[in-house]
Amino acid sequence: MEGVCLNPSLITWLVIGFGSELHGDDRFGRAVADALEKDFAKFSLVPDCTRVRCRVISANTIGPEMVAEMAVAGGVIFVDASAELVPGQLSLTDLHLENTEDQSIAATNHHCSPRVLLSLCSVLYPRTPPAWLMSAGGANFNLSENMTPLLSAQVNQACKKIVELICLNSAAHSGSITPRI
Amino acid sequence: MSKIITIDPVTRIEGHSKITIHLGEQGEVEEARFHVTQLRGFEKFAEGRPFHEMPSLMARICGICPVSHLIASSKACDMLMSVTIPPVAVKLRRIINLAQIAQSHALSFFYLSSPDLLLGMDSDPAKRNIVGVARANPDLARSGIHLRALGQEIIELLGGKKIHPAWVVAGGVSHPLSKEHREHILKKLPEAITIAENTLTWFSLQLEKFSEEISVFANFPGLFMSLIGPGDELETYDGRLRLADEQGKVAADIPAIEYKSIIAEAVSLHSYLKSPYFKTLGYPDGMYRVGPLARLHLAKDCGTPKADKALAQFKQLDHKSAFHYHLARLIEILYAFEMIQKLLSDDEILDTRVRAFAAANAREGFGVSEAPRGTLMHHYKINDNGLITYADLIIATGHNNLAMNQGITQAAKHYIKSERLTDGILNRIEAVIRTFDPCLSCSTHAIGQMALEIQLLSPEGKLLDQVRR
Repeated sequence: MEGVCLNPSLITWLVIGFGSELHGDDRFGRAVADALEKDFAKFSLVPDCTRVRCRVISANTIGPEMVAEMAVAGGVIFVDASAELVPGQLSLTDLHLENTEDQSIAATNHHCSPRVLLSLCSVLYPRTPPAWLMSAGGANFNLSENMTPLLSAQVNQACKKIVELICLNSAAHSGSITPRI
Repeated sequence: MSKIITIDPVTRIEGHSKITIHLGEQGEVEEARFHVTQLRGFEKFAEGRPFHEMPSLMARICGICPVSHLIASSKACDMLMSVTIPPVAVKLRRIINLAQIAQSHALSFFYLSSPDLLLGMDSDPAKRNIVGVARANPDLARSGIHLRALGQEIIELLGGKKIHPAWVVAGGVSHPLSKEHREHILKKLPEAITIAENTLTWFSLQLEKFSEEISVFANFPGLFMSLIGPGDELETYDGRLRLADEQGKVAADIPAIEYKSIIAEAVSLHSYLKSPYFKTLGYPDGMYRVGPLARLHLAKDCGTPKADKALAQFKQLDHKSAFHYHLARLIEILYAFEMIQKLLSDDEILDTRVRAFAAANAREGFGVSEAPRGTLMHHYKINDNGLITYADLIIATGHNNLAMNQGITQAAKHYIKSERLTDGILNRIEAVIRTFDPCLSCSTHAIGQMALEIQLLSPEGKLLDQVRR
């Protein structure tokens, strides 16, 4: 249930896909999480990257209760749909490089943004993981259990990019990881 | 010349709402109204669906308290099938309901209200949030995160997922608890109990700072309602329905299924939220309160040692003030984790007989439980084919509707002294609503950041003053 790294030589990454499964393209993050889950079960090794295991979370919303697990992760990748991007466009943002000092926008409700969670992590725990937001431009966020074909076609591409990102960065960041035993 | 102040939307609650404050000719506050601005259609679109779909369907009412709806709905379906569910299924349902109460109360206290309680009602609104709390008191923020995460984890371990688990079903639960999951939960409970105790101690010491808020945050005589156990102990799953006043004088004590003999519902033009009231006193005098404050006001004891100790201190407070909902929530978090520990410690909890199977054997079913915010009732009727012909839901937040309206009127009259508005005034009026922790998500889908605006308008619609954030 939690991101416990049983083998100190392995690095645990978190992939958090979030959004509503009842609002059309908003389910993109969940669809990517589900697809990744099929590719590698919870805590299993990422293909072609034998030092890394990955924990996938699929959630309606993200909240502060995820922060403790983030703090010990090798890296975190949030996956979400966006109404701002061109429909079908994939975008990867390095959140760690952005200023997380003034995330006062935090939650007037129970829902938080990835940057708010990183900000909380930096305040509450000794370590903030490298983190990225993978966004995909959605075209329809109305009530529907299905994504538009354009976005459905991007799920596999997103999964591929995520695995590449983990493999590429796990070596670079491995020195900063403090595994929990 | 009368004027209206509008707070739209109200922030740091679950759902969408607004508050209007009506001023008289001399600029004095005459009345404040709490408006729920979106419609819940579940009672209507449940019609025609098979009754056994109800638990999963009704859980979709809300992403914050789906377990509460699962419990009440499943109990109504048990009655439609005319079955007595296995004893261990009752205990397992109790555990998941307690975990739901704990995680929901942690969200309310730590995420939504602690910014006011730690940083102050007049603090910078840009920093009055969970990140601000984390910077000012990291231990408090970590405590909130820990308690909510554990409540959610218990739900996930039992129900399969944190939100909308389908584990609680008509006739019991879908599968038994594994030994591994029991041990995993039991191992984590002592730390959670210690954290809850420490937070209680911390918050008890803060109370004197809020004497003014305590005196005007919905502080008035009235009735309290909750389920109550056979020995007058705190009860969250079953029991009799009791109403008593602020002195403890009992106004009604009935089997919960007879709720319609004492409760009626009024509809107001300004809100989609119905206003239940105690029939004997009529509308709106039959106002009553539900939720943790009411439960602890009515309960003689909790049945767990640490919560009982805290309850004894709580009994010394003036329960008329809604401000004490906060403390009541912390006591119930402590109670929930202690009671889960107690229930899990019995080996019977691993019994594999957890579900009764039957077709529909009655035309009417009623289920009740204590949700985090108060008494939750589901009432269904079905036809010969087992299809729903009638669904009536009385949600905890609805029970509190009249009290919330009277509460914000009291606070507005106290704080608004001129046509000039300040953020501190605005926040205090919202904070009255937050004490009740209304879950308007039970009537709408509330996600995302909310802007806040309060306007003072002349009868002609001219903007006299405005505060925005």
